[in-house]
Amino acid sequence: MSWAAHEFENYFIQKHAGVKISFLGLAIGTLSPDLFTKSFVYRSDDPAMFHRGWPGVGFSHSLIFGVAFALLVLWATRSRSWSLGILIGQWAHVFTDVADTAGVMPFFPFSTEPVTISMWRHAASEGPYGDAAAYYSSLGGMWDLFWLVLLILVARRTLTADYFRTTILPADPRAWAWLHRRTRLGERGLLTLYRGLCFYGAGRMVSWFLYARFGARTPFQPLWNGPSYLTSYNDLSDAGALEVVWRTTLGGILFAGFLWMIWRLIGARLWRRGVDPPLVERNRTFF
Amino acid sequence: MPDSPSREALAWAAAFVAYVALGYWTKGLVLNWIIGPLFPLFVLILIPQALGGRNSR
Repeated sequence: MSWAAHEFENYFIQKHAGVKISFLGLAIGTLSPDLFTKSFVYRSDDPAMFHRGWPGVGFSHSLIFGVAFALLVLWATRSRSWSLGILIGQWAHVFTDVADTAGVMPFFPFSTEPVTISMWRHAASEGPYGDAAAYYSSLGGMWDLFWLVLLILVARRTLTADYFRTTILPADPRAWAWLHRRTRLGERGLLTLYRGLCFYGAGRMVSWFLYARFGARTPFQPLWNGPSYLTSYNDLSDAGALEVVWRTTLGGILFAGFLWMIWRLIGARLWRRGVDPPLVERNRTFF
Repeated sequence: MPDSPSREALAWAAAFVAYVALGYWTKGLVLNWIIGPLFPLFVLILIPQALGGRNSR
């Protein structure tokens, strides 16, 4: 699994999507695959299988889960920016988690074959602290750092007050106005809340890295398929590469057909009755 | 939160150091997706305000 990368990628995506997607929707979408499942993963007899496989809650790391969640939100709220944010956020989470040995089932239920590039070992079987220590002893920690550097180099403007005022608020005026009314937070407070996810990502990255080095004292092994001090790979499939490619391709084709059908039957109708934030609200001043 | 950009950056840096130290010490207690994103809001806005600091809302 990826850790802080899931926080940083939100700002990167937001920079490219601009006012088309809600940042709050995006953040919930990114969190959604682990939101209700993560705490149960560590208590499971087979954490990797439970987390990413089938049977298990691995469907939360599939593209169809994002589609269902986004359609549900579009139906309930009519907000296009929220539904698009949730879809893109959840899909980003799925693609990011391809990197560990357990992988994800992107085209579930059409293919239950895990797709992975095995950059680092899924280590939930080590318990929450062991998992953190293993992740920040492997290329996983480097993966987080890569996303932080990318955020700083490419998308640092998304953290400015000006960007918050001109893009984040106009993309989702109703939700931010609701937060403003309910919490009585002014622009500074809401900006701090917006930046909070990046702060959390950077903070937990540094804290767990320090814990791995000075608390757990695990060896730092940022090599492919590391860390090698773990005895288990937690690879969920024993299929060969060709078999994985074949099953995944077939699953992908079936998923694409399903997506087209869902769009024709439900999606297009919901999208048409959905609304973008009205311009009058976009230009409204909350504070 | 302070007005000048340099003081604001300093406040964020101090909050970050405090969060990392707390995180190292308490681990999952603050290093979670509920406390983590809300930490700067509490430390930089709400607590100073509750302590009678400058009205930053």
